[in-house]
Amino acid sequence: MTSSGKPVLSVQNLDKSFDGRPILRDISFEISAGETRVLVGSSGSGKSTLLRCIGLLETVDRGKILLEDQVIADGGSSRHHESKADARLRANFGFVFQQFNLFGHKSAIENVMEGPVVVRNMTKSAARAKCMELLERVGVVHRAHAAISEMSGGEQQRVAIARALAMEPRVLLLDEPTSALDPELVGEVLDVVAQLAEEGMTMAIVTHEMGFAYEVADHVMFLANGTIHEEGPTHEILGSPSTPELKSFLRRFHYATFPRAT
Amino acid sequence: MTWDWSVVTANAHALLLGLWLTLVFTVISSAVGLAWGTILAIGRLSTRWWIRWPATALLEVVRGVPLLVLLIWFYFAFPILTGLGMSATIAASIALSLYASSYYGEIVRGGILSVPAGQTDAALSLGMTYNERMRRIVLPQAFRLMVPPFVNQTIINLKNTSLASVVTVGELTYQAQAISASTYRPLEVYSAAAVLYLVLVLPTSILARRLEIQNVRYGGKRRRKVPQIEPREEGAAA
Repeated sequence: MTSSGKPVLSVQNLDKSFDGRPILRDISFEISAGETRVLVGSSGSGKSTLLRCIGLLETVDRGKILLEDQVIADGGSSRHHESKADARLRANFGFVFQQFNLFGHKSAIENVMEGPVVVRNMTKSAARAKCMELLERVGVVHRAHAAISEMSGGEQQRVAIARALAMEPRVLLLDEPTSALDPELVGEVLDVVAQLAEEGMTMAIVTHEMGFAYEVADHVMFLANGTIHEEGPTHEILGSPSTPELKSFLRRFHYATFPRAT
Repeated sequence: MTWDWSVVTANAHALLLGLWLTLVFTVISSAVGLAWGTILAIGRLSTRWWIRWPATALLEVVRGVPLLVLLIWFYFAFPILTGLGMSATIAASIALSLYASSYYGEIVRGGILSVPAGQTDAALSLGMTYNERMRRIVLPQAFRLMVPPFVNQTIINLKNTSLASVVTVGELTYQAQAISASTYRPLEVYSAAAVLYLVLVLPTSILARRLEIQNVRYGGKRRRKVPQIEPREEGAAA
């Protein structure tokens, strides 16, 4: 749960716009190994786009993204057709989507096995054993052979987390993992994420669950209008926000009063 | 007006041979058309203009020309253009397959586009290449969505083979024309031909319904019986 060591991920002066409309402006930050970082901000602040840029699901217009010392995205480089090595870079990140995005034509276990078998060239039997363990870890092993459409949202999202973990990612990126869930199913997913934080998984999480952020995050970034408006250690940021924008943002969650940081 | 079915029974072998050829041309044009149509569809969705434009142009040209003209062009015009003569069978196979591919191509393209973008995002995040994404994630789900329009187009294909009669391919319609011309019994002969087409089409329709897999894994719905509302008994408490 504690952060330590040199940065796993660094984002340097990142700019991103869609059709000339700026979404992210000059974003720079670093995430160190084992850290749990939470991104908050109102809708349209660019936090999901930032996560998608890190996960290489969007190109960047300017700036760099480094994984350890390797430049994995560079806004200055010219466009070229994507090579196999480029595609494989994405496997360094596990991405958990708001809408789960499980493969609809495959069972739960097949979803988890897909990456190890296709991308990592594992044998099916080895992958099956590994993936059953992962399903066990997220508590849905009893649904291993279920069709996706037969599972609850909470079960689907936990399978999606197992699918991301199966690639043994360096960084796990979670984009509003509980926003599409019924309120009573939110807890089962957040428990899994909290458990991963405990085990030292490096994570960046976009979420509106402020109580969860307060419990689990090491560091919180508040995004507004495509920039990092305020950031710092969780209890400082959420306990005593300094900018009026963050204060008014937090007030909307009825979490205006967190216990004071000591 | 009296019906005389003896012309049909006497020429049954010719009609059945025609029926067989109709089936063969349907299978060839559907298989080649689907394969080539899939290539065209993927070409049309390419980010590279030098793949996208030729694929689009080819599809638009073939789709824009009537099949009858296409058939005649390949049989009579193509040999003049290239000096390569070809048999009616080959010319008809090419024309029917190309024509089918332009329609299948649009069905495949629509199928690919209707697979939610989130499926591609998920495949990307696992590190899959374009080919892996297409082969393992997008196309299997697209093909399932395509089953109803695909079957519909295949039935149209089957009936389109009748046009090959104009380039002397001995399929069902050609045989019916020949028998009718020599016996002067168009009523019985063409009625028999119509029934034979139906004999091919109806099983296809039934097979299609089976193909629309009632499998929850593929997004199908289990058929549920509508619960019967018990008639309320007289004087029961509300």
